[in-house]
Amino acid sequence: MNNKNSAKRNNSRNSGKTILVVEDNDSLSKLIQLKLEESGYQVLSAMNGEDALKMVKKTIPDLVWLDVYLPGINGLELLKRLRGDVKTKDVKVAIVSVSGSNKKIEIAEKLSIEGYFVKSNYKLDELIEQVDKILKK
Amino acid sequence: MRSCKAFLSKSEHPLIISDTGNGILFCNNAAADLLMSSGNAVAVQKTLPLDGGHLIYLQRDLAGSMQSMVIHQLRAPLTAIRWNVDLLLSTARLAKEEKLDLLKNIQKTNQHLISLVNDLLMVGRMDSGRLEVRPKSADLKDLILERIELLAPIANQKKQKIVFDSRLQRANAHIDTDLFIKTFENLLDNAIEYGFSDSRVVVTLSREEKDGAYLIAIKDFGLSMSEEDRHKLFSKFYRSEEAHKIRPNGTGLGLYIAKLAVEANGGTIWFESSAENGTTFYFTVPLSG
Repeated sequence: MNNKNSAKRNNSRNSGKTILVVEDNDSLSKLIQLKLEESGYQVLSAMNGEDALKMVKKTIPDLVWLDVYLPGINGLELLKRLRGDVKTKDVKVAIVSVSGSNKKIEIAEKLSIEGYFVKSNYKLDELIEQVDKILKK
Repeated sequence: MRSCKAFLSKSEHPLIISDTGNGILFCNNAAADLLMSSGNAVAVQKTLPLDGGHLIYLQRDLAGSMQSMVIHQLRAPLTAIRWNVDLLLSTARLAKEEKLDLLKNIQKTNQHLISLVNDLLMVGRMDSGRLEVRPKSADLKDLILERIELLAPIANQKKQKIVFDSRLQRANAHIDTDLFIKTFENLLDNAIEYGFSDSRVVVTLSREEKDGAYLIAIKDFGLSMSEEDRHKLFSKFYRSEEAHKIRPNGTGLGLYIAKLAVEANGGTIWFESSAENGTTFYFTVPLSG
């Protein structure tokens, strides 16, 4: 995706805040990154749980945008590991998944998340608004 | 009751004991594993009355698991199309090349959806025994060379070279060519995808007189398979961790379809994999007549 023009549209209100997008679908990941960058966020991305875990430990982001179905460590397991580590236990996490199963929502909510969003129920813009709300808290 | 619990806890069959109000009194390890593992739909296989309650046999609900897997597989590309279209419609000042990127994403995702739905339909027909096999005479060499030509551009992108090796002038067989092509294409596509960049993919076609069959081998130079992969590779929806890393949007249906398609044509399929030699898939096609 060419980001030259989108960079001009950056919203300076959010500059400096970093979001780690953990999403294994390449096409979705690029779109999410594009939209978040347009809104002025610094974006890091990981396609699998292992890479995401390493990245969070290295640089604590302001928010982790976390998919559930991931290769290797899945999203919920990653969330559990983040909460179990002193360094990463307080990082903000929003789950964004294709699955809206009650069981998964229940597990995630017990691990204190900022929100659980079922992808297909939202326009991407609406999800970015949710991110804005979370980070303004 | 204590001896009963001790006995049941050793069973590999998932079992629970409930009271008359369906409250769980006891759950053995196999049942706990089944209930706790994510992605498993669980169904009751049978219930036996017990003094003061019930003994319940559980099983993995394959239909439920398949349904949830299919929904997941369809939802991701459908969401990708929706978000791409939203972006095209809502962002007025997109540059021409950005619009083109989004349209290409939609085209690619749409193609992925079509092949996913086609694969699911084929699996449905295969599983229910409704797959019609329509044999006709064909030269396997021609079919193989056509598919190699078709996939060569994808191999080129990874700087790979597809090498074809056969001493046969012709390889006449009486088979369902669609099923043969589906198998060969799946295996060649996998070899390109999972083979290292700048390596070779070697396809050989030979005639095994003793077995009365043609033997087709597709060899890649990539990572070897883990023990777990070796046992589950031809299972429906199975995807190894390595495969998921290399191709996150794969369906886990390619090798399952390949196996059933080879068998429908009267052949067999197997593979060899090692760290030194990469992975080779073999399948046979009976000699005609």
